[in-house]
Amino acid sequence: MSIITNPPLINLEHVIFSYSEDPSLRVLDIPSWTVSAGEHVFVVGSSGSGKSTLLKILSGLLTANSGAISIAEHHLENMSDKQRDRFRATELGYVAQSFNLIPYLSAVENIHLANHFGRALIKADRNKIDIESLLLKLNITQAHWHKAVEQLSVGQQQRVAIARAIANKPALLIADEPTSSLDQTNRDTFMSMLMTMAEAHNMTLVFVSHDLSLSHYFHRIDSMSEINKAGG
Amino acid sequence: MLIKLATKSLLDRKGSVTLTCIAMIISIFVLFGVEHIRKEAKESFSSTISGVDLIVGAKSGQLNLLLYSVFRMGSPVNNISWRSYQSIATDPNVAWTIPISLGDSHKGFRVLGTSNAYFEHYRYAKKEKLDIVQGTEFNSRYDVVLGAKVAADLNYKIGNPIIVSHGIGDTSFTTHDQHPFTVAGILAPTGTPVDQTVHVKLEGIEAIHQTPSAEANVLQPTSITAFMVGLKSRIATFRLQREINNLDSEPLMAILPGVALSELWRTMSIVEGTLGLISWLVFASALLGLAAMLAASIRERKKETYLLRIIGAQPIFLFVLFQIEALLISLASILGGGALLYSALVIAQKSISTQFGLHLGTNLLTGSNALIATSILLATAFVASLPAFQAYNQAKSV
Repeated sequence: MSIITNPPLINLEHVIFSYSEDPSLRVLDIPSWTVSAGEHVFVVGSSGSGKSTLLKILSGLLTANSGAISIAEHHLENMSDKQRDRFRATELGYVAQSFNLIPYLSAVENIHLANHFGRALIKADRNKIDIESLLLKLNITQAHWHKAVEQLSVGQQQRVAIARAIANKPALLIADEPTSSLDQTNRDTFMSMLMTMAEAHNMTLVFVSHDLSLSHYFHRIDSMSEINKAGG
Repeated sequence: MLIKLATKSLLDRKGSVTLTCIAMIISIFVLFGVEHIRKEAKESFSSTISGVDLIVGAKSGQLNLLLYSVFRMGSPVNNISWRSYQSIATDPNVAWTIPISLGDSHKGFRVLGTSNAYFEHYRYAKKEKLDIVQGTEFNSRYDVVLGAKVAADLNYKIGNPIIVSHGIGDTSFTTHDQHPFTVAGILAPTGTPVDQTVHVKLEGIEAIHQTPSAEANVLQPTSITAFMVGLKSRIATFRLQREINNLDSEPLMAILPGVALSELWRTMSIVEGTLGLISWLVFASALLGLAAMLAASIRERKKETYLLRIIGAQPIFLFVLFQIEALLISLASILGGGALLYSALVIAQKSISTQFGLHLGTNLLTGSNALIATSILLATAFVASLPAFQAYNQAKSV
């Protein structure tokens, strides 16, 4: 498969992490973990396996005690807090289980907000995604564009979350249990749209879930217990 | 984007934000109101008399002389002789004099014996002349010219008879009822003590204090209470004042009305300061309410903070967001408090003017109010920096 030969988008080497409250307890111990550019990885792990910590490390909200973390040619371990905030705004799209949107803002305003943080930091050659066509592709009709998102259904909210996450055309898209609050129909719609969008914009996708029934959308399935030697 | 986010976030928390706003509006209303009334009262106070160079009376304190001659408050310690009055009135530097004789009253209003010079030379506010709206000035011995409030309160018309009683207060037992006066003129409102004065001719005052048999005589007053002096040239003011103060024949005192007025105002500075302090304390408590409301919202906005961080907001963004929310509330409250004060002034203007003789302007767009508004915003930013810093810390630790 051609993707395997792609250069790595994520590369973790000897990453060690423990929380400062309990330095003796290693939460993460990752000797090596690599994801190629454009690859879609399903990471399965139960709670307590260190997956939320891993996601915070990948998004630069936490810094590892030691080790090298490179994402889209950014070396996170060498960056300042401010540089990591910028990295998150421009290179990372994030869809969580819930509360992906500011509830009192409309869908369009939520996307504008993401644009606001990415604005001016994004290189000129990266064309802005057209918000309206994006929302239409995600099956959000025009009537819902300017309503406060708290008035939308959960399914609609999660689809707007996809739009918000990819609005700045990030290199990496992280999804953390994004379907756990959705019913079967909404889950299928969400998954197919997420996969289509990631494919269309050539984004690398790290999808974390404990729901193995979703694994058929992915070619690569990693287990937290394989990645993280510290995991219980 | 920040302002839009802050506005929508505040609108999303309508309940607590509205309550905070109401507390702020009330405190700002009090703050602006006290300042406005203080300024207007001072303005109205210092415009009680103008265009008079000296007030001369028996030696006492300058406040005492000012109070009884201009404000009709308190009583003179002594009268001054007609002879001394005449000798000063004929001084070559003196352009005009207004004699004043006090001590009688009519239904609680002070009676002031004077001459037609009063209507010609007395000035108030910005050198404004007294205006007789109905009738005329004094023509005969028993003519009366009423201040606007006297005429309005007692419902007097031109030609009405008036009985003057001795002493002040409307329950005086000695009335000069064998000498009825007649209303000859009514003055326009001035917003000064003139409105509450019953003006009679000096000879009229003299007549009622004499036995009926002597009445037929030419009534030359032997003494008056005080008099006001207008000079030909301002340069002579201090020299004449010194001369009067050092007069050997009689212990007299001359005061400069402007100086005495500002001294009188200074004696009220404690009241003024206390009112100002109270209004700032009320504002401080409203401001702490605002800070408490913001601090309480930090916890409930934890998820929102996390979301903002994940889409790339720096922790300082949260600090600024909280500051902007506080300043928006403050700004809205300044506008609300100002609007409330303006409508209150428009509604109450008339009754305050008739009841207290205090004319309140409605212009709130002044330099000192702009200064207060700026102080309010600065104080808000200062107090809000505490919850804003907490929000910053929360954002940093997600």
